[in-house]
Amino acid sequence: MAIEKIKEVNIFLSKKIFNDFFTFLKLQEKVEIEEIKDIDGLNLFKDMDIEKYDKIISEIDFLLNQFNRFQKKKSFIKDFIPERIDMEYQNLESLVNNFDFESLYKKIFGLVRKNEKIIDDIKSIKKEIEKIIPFTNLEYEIEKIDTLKKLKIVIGSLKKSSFEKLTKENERCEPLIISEDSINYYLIVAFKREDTSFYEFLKNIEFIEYDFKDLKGKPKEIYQNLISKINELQKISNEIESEINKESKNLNNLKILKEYYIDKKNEEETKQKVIESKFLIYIRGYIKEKDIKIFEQKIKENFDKAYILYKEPEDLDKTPVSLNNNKFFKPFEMLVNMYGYPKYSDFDPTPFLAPFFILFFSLCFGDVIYGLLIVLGSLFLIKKFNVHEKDRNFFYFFIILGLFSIIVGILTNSWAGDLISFPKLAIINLFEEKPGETPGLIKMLIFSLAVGFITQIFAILLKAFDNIRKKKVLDAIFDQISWVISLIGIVLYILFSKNPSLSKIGLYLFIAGIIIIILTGGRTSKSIIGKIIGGVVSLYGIVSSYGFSSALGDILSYSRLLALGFSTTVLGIIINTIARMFGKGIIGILIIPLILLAGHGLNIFMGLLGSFVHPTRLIFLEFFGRFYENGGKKFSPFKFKSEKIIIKNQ
Amino acid sequence: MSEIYGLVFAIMGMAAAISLSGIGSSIGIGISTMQTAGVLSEKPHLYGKLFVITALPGTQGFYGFIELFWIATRIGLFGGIPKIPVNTGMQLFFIGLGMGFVELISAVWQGKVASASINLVAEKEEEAGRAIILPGLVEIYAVISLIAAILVTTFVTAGL
Repeated sequence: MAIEKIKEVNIFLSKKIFNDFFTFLKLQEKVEIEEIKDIDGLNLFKDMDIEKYDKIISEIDFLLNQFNRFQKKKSFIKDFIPERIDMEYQNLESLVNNFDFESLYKKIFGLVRKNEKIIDDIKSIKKEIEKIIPFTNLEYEIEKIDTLKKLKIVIGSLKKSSFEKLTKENERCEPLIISEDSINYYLIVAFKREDTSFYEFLKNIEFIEYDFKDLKGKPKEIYQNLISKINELQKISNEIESEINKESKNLNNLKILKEYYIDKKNEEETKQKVIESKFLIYIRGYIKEKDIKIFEQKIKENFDKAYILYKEPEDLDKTPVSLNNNKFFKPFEMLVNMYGYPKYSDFDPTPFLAPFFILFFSLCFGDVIYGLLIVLGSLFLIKKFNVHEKDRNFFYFFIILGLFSIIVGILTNSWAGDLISFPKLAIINLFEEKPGETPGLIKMLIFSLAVGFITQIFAILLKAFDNIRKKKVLDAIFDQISWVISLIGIVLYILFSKNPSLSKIGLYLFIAGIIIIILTGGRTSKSIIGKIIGGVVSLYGIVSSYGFSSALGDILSYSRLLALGFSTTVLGIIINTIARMFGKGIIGILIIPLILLAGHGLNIFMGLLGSFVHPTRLIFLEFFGRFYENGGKKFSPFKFKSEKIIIKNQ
Repeated sequence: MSEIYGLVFAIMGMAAAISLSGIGSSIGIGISTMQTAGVLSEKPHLYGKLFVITALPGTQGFYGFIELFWIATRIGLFGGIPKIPVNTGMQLFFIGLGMGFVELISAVWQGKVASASINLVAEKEEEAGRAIILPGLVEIYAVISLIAAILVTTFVTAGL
């Protein structure tokens, strides 16, 4: 439950074994390689071939695009769950070596180009067909129409609105309408060959001449010919498609191939971080202390010309951080990861934030049946989609939260709203209101604020602990303990206002705390006036990070726990009320389950959203704000880089 | 006579709560949905991640609904036509109106923040977790006004 001990590792080896050693290092997944920038006069490794892998990856992408067309769409839920394949590296390599990618690519590439050409042809034939259709009534061979000596005959279309202009010129020409649609007439126009200005006239009235030079025969025959030509081409295209489809059986192997080459590319890129001389390679990086033993042993087994030096990391701010938590806390590392890792010299906040996050979430979501559904749903998804161990933490997260939501649900009597009710099990009933007693809502509000107060005190104590750990005991007393004393004093004073002796203790504690703050708040200032002003101002949290204004604001912020818990319950009740309106008749039996299912489904979705977002904020702002600083770098060892393939450790 | 007006005012309060918050949420969701639709045209695989962020400004509408339901329960509207003093009715009206305004404006701004968050996810997919939190910062005020409305509603209807 802490930050792993990390050592700096320096590796020197002969250049001859570099490639083998680097792959070995990758498969070990134990060493993070650092880019060496601080040594002058030495050269970074240059002998890489990244473009080669870029090319092959883009070729694989081309094939994947082709094959993916034949794949079924993944379901919405399955989209959320990453696909993982367990594999041994030898198997992966032999798969890649035995796969004849080159010829597959050539074949598919050829087929695709051929198909594209056919599709282009079909498109242009379709255009021809569109042109010829209006003239299918014409019983002349099309190539013989314009063969007269004195008369020029043109075929084309004309807008109906322009037709009048043409008929006005009936001395110069002879139009013959073949067919029409709502906008155009399709016609042939005859005019004297020597009347060249008539062409201009036709252009001006937007007569569109059709060119059938390449076609021969009667339009109807031409039309039928074109149709059968299209059918033929379509058939060929379909054959090509089915041939491509046949090869799409390679899809899964191709995906693996792609992962392999992406990793290879990454390996080449990582090589740029190491230093080379004429005969030697120098690799610098970080390793977890607990891995050193196995790592040394493995190296001894495989390589004899590698020399390794371990030492304590010097620059703690740059040292990568790896968190180590047990199974229960592990899922909550997700939140730390979201906010940012701690520095190597700080401590891991995961075990401290987890109980609070669970409490916040379950107060917001708190419902027995919803909690049960979340737990069962998570278990079901793990089983159904056979979720890989690496991704299960996300589901464990919700199982833990679901279980605690059930407990809170029992204690606040929330069973899918008021679907069923066991008021005797509950401690606080939100809707309870008896004369002379505090209403349930107010009780819950006070409880939420109390949770806030305790969280704040705990967070300040954590900061004090951190200061003491760093041997800044005085800072801990002046800046944190003083606040804890005065905050607790205030609360005691208010709580026991009826008991003068206890409330006096509270008052004294409060005053003692305040005095410490005023006396020490301005201690960084040099002048005496500065010290005094600094001390008074730090009460309000203007100079320091904490003050009464922020304490009050932060604690009030926890009232959202009441609001979200209440809104989940009330929405559930609303849904039940609507469902009950349909009574017990046949309509009721048919409709009620639908309403319950849809309504509570929506409520669970909204509840999860709110119950995740708000507690996360309470952790990030109100809790972390008191003691936690991020800025650490996550320890990411050099390893097989792939989203899909998990290499089994040999 | 005055009891009838009391009910009218109470209903006006419910109407203000539900309509203002509903308007806010529809504008807010509108803003975020437009952004999502744009991003999806380039990166359709982000649908799952963006869906959650897109839906965030929708909660205000439900908060208005909860306040409506709470007033209705407190004045006994589900049991028939209740008789409410005018002053209580007016109190409920102002609670609904005030709460509704906060919901309206916070939903619109949450929509804007959500659409910025959507852009963040579009650029950096791994930031989806943090991107969800940002619109939540605006939502606090919607939540606080809901608590306030529920509490004050409970107080002013205590004698009914």
